[in-house]
Amino acid sequence: MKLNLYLGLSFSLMLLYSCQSKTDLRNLRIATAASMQFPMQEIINAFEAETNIKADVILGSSGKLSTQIIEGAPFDVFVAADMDFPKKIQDAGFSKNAPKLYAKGKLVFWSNDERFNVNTILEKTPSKLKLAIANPKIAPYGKAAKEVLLHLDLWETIEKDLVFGESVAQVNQFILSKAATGGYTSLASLKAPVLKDAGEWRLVDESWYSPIMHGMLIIKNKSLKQKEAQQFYDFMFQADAQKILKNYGFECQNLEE
Amino acid sequence: MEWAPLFLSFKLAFVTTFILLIISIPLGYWLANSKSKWKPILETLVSMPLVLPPTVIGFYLLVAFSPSSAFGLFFSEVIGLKILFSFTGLILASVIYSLPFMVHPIQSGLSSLPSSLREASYVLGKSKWETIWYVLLPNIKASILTGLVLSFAHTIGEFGIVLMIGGNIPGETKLASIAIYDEVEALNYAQANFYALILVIICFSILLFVYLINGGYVKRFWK
Repeated sequence: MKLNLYLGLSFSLMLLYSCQSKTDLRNLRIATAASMQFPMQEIINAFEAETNIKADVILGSSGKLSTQIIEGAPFDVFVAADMDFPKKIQDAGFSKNAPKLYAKGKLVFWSNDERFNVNTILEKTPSKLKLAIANPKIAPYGKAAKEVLLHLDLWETIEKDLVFGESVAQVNQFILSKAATGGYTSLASLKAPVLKDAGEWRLVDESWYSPIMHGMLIIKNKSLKQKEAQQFYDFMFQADAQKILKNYGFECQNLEE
Repeated sequence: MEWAPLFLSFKLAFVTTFILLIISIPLGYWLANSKSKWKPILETLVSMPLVLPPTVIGFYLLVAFSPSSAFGLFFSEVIGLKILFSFTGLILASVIYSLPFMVHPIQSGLSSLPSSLREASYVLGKSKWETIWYVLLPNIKASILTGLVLSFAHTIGEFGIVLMIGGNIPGETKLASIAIYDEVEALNYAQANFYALILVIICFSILLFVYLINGGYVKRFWK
């Protein structure tokens, strides 16, 4: 009798879960590179106002998001911070088209510690610093930061004192909270209202790192969201979205791949 | 303020605790009474989630259910259940992750009962199931309550596995613990604090409730 109760309970529970299929009532899901988090919120607001399509943002480093997509994560659009990770997704068969370049990002050096001058800090006392950079393996801005440190011949000296954030979002948090003396992040982050007046920053010479080309693509999946995904994809190249990107310090015109 | 992640966390904890209760009673009973040579192996397996980093479980779930593996493909195409990046997957992961927290109290509760209790029931003509249902289980109410609360709380506190196989999807896999991490990264400290504070208050109340009951304070108060 007790056994029947168990079987009955387990069975009804299984039924309960097999009945749940509401996948197509869901919002559009946009996997977004962390360096795009602030402009993306504004772009989504503009997109929702124009098309009435609700969209959710899923933030992460480009590398982490692309792994999740290749493992079958149900995202509809991937807005990355470089071209390599979206390319991998296309190669793995999760997208029909090649990634399209939508903006070029810039790397900045930023410190929220008033004892340091961002223009001279690296030259004077490199060994006493706790610098934060994003993980070069999975975050395009981390990769660029590593290139800069290699170019300045500082990598060997300060590698042991570096702190690695999972993405620029975590780097921002390290620097804002002064847990790190300074570090490399995206220009877009520092144009955001929350970070606008925090500390000092300067642009990094663009010849010191390979250009950070942001690419995006539509993810092939079984949901019925492909049309909305295409609409969002097109929206990113329209004047409204391009204006927001420009306000955040991105270059959007005359880009060469 | 966004309530969805909190709601989702509690939904996951309720479902997980319920499933765990169903599987842990027979499992705990078997572990408490069996003399099989397989018992040490099963006991070890049940306790593994206590010592393994959640990332190990997350990693193997990711590998097993990936669409690039034959097993994962079979599971999603033939059975039609999506495990990775879905709420169903989080239930599976939480059941594995919290299993020892339910099985251990039930097992030790049952082992601590004197065998005369069971023997008396058999002598009086009760079947095995009747004995479990009417004699043994009512005598380990405190252990079952402990198991329920620990599994519930442990599921609320889950983070590593969810980070690996959840994918941070709002309304589906974005639990409160993940939402806190996410809001801190987005520098929304107020929202992060909102989630964190509510979790602190709720978890404190639940645990206090258990200690009051198990410590007999409530009984004494009512007498």
